[in-house]
Amino acid sequence: MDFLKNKLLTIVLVLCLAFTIFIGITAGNKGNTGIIQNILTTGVKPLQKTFYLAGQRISNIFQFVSSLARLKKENNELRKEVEELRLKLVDYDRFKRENEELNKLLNFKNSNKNLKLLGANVIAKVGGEWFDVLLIDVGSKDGVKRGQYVIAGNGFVGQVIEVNTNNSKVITILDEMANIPAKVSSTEDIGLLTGIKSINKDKQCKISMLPYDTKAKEGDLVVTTNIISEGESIIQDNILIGKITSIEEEKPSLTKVAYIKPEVDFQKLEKVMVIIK
Amino acid sequence: MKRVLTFILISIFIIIMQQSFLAGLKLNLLVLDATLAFIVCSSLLLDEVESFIVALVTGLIVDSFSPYVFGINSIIYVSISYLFTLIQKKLYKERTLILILLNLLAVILKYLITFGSYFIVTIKLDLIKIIKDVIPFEMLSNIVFAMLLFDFLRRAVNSAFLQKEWKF
Repeated sequence: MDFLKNKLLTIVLVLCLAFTIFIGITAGNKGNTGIIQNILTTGVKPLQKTFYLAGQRISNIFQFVSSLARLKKENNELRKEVEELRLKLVDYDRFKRENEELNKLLNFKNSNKNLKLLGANVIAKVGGEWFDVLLIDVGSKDGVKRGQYVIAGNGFVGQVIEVNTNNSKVITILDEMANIPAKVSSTEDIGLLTGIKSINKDKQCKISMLPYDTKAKEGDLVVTTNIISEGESIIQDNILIGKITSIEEEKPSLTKVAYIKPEVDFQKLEKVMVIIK
Repeated sequence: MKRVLTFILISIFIIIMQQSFLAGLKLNLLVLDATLAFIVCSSLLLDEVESFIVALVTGLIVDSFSPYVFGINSIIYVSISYLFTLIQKKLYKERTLILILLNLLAVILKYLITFGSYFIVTIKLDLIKIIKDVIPFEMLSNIVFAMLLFDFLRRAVNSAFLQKEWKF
């Protein structure tokens, strides 16, 4: 040890020189390989592998913990985006429904070119729970008269019962007071169309006073008829009201009553047309 | 000799830690040369010969793993160890500032020797990028690590010294 101590500077210098030569040799060989390297690297390989895996696992834990804040932020952003998309979806559904309704109205108008139709928006449902009456945004100023029929798409909605300057009230076929003449399309049996009081969403109407021997059956179509006139109004016939779902005897008047599922979906009704001429 | 062996074992452990564990951690901004910090600490705690042997063995092991050339780390560790053991007697090594300065000096010396050696053997390195992106972080990491390690090694050395002197 003392020898080393006395000659330490010399040894350090000699070693530095030797290592410099080593550097030169290994650089010339373009590789740091040899017996010492081989033994050392092989000897510590298992330990290195274990430590490397441990390091990676700890790193994964750190990454997981550090990603929590990011994930939370991302989650909030995504929630916001979902909310926005939901709102867009609501708008989309509304536009789609409106488009479908307008298409149906257009189809009806195209197939009944002799009719003059007036487009209107449903602006309210009046009469509370007692009546099924709609308020539309066209009135006498637009040429609407009492008794005119109102349609939506290919289906019959009801009849104008009150007309104001800028709006009108339409009694729908779901109202018990409707009393609109109608006929079974297949048998031409004429009856009186009225609504049925119900708290269900799937409201129905019925055509009563059908002859007792009527051949009408389930699935037959019910349409309007112009058998009677309403003052100056034109009553358009063959407007589809709905489909018969069942037929019963009507006691005690010896007639039959047919229950109808309306063609028009009154729950989603927004656009209608008034047949003014 | 027991202290030398202990320090060599610690150095092997630190080398493995640095090459495997810290490499596996993949932490950004952690550019730590734990072995260099260890050599600085051992130079302050061991005498010249002990420190020289530890530095030489550590250098040889590190060089065995180094790519392309063999010997650079041995030169770095041996020369740093020799220099620091010479000056450590004239310094109050318990002061944290001394440890910080010595670590800064060690990193500078390491890069000077490395750049010099690579220049001689015509290995091209992006000097500016290393100075800008690596050296400051390495200095910082080494200082923090050395402060922790020095405390641990000092306790080990003192404990061994007391055991020997007081025979407990």
